Amino acid sequence: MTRALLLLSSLAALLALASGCTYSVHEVTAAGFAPADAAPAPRKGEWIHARGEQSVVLGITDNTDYVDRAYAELVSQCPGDIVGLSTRTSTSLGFLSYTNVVEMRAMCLR
Amino acid sequence: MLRRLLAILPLALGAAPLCACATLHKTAIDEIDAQHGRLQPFEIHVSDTGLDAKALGAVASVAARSSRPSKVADIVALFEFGPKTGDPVFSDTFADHVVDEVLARCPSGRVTGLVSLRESAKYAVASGEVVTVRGFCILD
Amino acid sequence: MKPGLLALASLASLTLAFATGCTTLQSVSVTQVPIDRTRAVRAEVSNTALLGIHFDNDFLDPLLPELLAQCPDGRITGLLTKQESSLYVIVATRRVIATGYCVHDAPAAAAGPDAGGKVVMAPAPPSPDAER
Repeated sequence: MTRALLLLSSLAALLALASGCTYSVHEVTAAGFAPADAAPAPRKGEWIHARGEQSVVLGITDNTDYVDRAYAELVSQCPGDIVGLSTRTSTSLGFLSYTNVVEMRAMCLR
Repeated sequence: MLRRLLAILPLALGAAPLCACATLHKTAIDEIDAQHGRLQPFEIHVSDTGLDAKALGAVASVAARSSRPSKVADIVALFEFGPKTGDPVFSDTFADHVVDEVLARCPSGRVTGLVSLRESAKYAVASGEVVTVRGFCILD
Repeated sequence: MKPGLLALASLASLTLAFATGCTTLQSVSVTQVPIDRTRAVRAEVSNTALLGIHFDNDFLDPLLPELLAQCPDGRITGLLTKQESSLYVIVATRRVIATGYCVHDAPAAAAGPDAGGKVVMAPAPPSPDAER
């Protein structure tokens, strides 16, 4: 009975893993909360968000430009100081291929 | 003495899967500023459960007394192709609210000395995939 | 498909893979981005080794002097630092690329005890989960 339960639960977990909706989270960092440049009056903070993706088949790729694109997208959204940054790099795993993802979230001080 | 050690060894090996093996994958340290007020430390942990296909296959093989589940696990591994840090999880957004947590601890947004850690606590077939953020609120 | 054609296709794929290489992102970090983004700075260091066997990490040493040389009397911020590694058959290259901005703080802002000023927090955006 116990063995059957163990076998069934293991196979169910394997089936879930094969469903293709698995991820590997490589890094999550929070940074840049130190006081920003002087401002005469309280400034309004607004959340901004950028995402970069790269699809890779069989691991063949020669660049990490998706990170630069995400950074450029983040910076382009804010003419003021960008503080309170959180960066996440992860990979969406798939059948002999995967998608690298970088997510950047920050606060724009206007 | 040796006999006693040999008697304890299976017990120790048997208990090993119950204990977590901790792995530190990445560390990042932000600026540390102690000039602008008193500092109050805080620590935030967020985690998700990771699954190890190979280990699941091995467990299923032992339960089934057959090598087939291990072969199934090898095939499953093809469906989770790519660079991995720790074991695969079912959500990549489990740590996205960590900044909200930081701001909840420090509503003024005055934070310094942030240390971001990416860790794993590995058990037999599963793991705890953990993100830890430590830092200091700058008090007025 | 004929076996000869299959072998040729496999060989072509492998050649493409080896020529292109497998590049993996190892680490990313971003620091506060300033308002003044007129002076961009960039530095890159790399290190190639056979079989990826490296004996030290000294290749990193010129990175900071290279950045500082581009901003000798200012503050470097908005730093995006990427560490990547590429594998070409039996040769591995490690590369660290740092880009940022050189800013010159006004004397009062640089010397002030609390340059921060207050920030009125906007509500947090919806979770990325909700967007998908």
